[in-house]
Amino acid sequence: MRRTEPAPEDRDADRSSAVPSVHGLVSAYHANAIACRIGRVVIDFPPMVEVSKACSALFSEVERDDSVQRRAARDAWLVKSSLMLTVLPFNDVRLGLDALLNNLAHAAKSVPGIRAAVDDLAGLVRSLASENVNPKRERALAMLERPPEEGAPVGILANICGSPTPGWPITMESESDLGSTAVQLVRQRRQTRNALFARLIIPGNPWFAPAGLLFDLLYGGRTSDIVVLTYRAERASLPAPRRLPQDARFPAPSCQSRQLPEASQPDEDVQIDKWAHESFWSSIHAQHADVAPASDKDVTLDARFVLFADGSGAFLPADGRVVEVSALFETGANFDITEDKLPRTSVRDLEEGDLVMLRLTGSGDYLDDVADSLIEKAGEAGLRGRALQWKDRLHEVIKRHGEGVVAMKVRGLGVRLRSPQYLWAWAGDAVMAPQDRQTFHSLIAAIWHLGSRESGDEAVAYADARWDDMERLKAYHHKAGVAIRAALLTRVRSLVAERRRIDSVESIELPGVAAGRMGLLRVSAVDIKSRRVPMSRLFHLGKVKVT
Amino acid sequence: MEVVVEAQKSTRLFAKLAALSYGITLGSVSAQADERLASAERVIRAALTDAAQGWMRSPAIECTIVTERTSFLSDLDGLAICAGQGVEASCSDLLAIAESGGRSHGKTRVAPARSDGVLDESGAITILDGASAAVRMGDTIARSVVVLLDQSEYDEEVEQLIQTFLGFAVDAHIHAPASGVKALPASIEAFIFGLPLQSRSQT
Repeated sequence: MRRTEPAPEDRDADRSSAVPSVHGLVSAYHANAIACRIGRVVIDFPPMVEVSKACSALFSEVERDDSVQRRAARDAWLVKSSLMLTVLPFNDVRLGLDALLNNLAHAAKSVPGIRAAVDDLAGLVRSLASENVNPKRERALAMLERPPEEGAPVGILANICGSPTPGWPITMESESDLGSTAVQLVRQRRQTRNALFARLIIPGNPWFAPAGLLFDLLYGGRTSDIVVLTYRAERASLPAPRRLPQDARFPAPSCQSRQLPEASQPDEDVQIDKWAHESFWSSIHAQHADVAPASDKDVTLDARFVLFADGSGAFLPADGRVVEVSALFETGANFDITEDKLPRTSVRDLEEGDLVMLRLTGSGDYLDDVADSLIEKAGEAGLRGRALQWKDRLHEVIKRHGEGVVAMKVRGLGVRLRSPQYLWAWAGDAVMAPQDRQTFHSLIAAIWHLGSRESGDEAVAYADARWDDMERLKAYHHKAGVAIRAALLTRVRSLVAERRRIDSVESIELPGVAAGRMGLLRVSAVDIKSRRVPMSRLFHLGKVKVT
Repeated sequence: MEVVVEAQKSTRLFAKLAALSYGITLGSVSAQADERLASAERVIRAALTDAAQGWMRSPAIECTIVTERTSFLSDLDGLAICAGQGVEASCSDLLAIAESGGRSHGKTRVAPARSDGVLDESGAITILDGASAAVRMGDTIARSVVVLLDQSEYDEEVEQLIQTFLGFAVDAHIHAPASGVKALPASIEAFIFGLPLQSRSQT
């Protein structure tokens, strides 16, 4: 396979864009994946061992069930992690060490048991800041002084934790902080798409980095040279890819171990790191402990909690997709004004920095609300209730007989039903109706039969009437969709055209669409674990207190 | 449908849908469309000794590619497949891609993983590209299904799904060459399993 080469004059014109061809990229990824070597550079720096010990002493004294002490433990972990992970000078104010030490000193007043450990930690931090020697910075800068010969940049993984990474403030820039334009700070997975790096530096234990990002970098052929740069006091190990099942035909792959030798660090530190990472999300989940279904019809789905830069957050369906427009705002010129739809991305693929469109006020059922407003204007109030009234009957029948009996009856009438559980989707709000009139007729016939309603003719008439109602309702939904899309496109297009900078949130008023307010929200972090959440709680923005 | 190739003063046979897709009007094919077809046919003949004449112009989709990659078609731009010195054709011509609904002629259909119901209503082979396509494995009816995943896509969910299918696995319909399968390129792993037809709908 080959890529058609452009004519010489085209090649010259092309040089500015420097976008490699898909074929070139895939070939390079393949070559890199074969040749990839992962090395570890270990830095001996005794003060970091002392920092680790002071933190361990503090952790051993705190009672993590108590919110004040839990906060103190997390602050101590942030101090330790900021020092260990950063390549900034230790006295850089962006590390926020003073504020963390003040918090700890305040906590030590009410928890005498941690006072000694806090004093030790504060002394070590002040000593490191005054001497201002960061060995990890020096080693990293030395690696950048002799960049490999290829034209590709050196990547530094700056998202080591998934949640905001201590020691790597978002304001960090390669040129001003590392003195090189040939370095790329890699925080998002989208930076690894179509990317090649001459070398990748991982400045700490990447175990808790977002899996997609890390696997792309480690095993996706983005580079052939990976260096893990750690202090001896840092444990570092790389997640191994899952092994495929074996068969008798294809030979087992050569087992090239990517595991690094374990550093000499007690297991306790590993547990503390794990706790610190999980505590970030568990404290947020604790604020949403009351996610009970609103009704029996309120089915639960796998959802991920997404935290936004304005301090709000919402559960989004793990298998769903949302409008994500960060690329449009970054490359405004590429936004084709003839495009009649906005780009969507899977919730599973959302990451820090993405720009997501959500409803800012009111319920999540934006389309329903706009459709209802159109229905009322057309003088057809009550259409939705009438059209969907059969769902209550189905729900009642399922509850009385169980979904297995109902499914058997429906299948007996010739309907292909993959799983009895799918009946709940029909009974709830997830799906408006079965895909065709015949299936709907059979479903209503089954409801009629199991509900002991006498006349089959009545069932046919009922099914016909409800089906026609639902067709009209779908038409209103379609009109509402068109109205919303047109208004959104107009507004987003103007925002893109003026290259509006959106740091946290941009509210979008939709002229002529009065059912609430939409907005563009910058993603701050995404929980990698899914949670079962009632459908009625999805997309609901709420303020989140992040400790 | 018999169509005159003006440049060569010869004729070709087309299915009606194929004729429309290749822009054939008034019973003749343009020199450009004919060259595209001829190049693709030369590559197929060079690569497969037993390839049927006119296979590309024959009706029916034979392969479905299920993918979430929105750039799939644009990625093919400018990409050519060579089957020997001077024997090459553009990748898009060789794949002969039908529109997603399958209403235009083509041998390959590209479909999104999020479409409802069965993913491939016809065709002998279905390629599931990526994790969101892989989890729809139970919604395929093709005799052969190829799942393409990178290391990050082969996650716990996909692994569990495959384990579920492996519970039904049989070797009966796997026909490997007597000399064994070719060695895989380094950095690529593969495995194969067979399923009785009815087990897909059970899972």
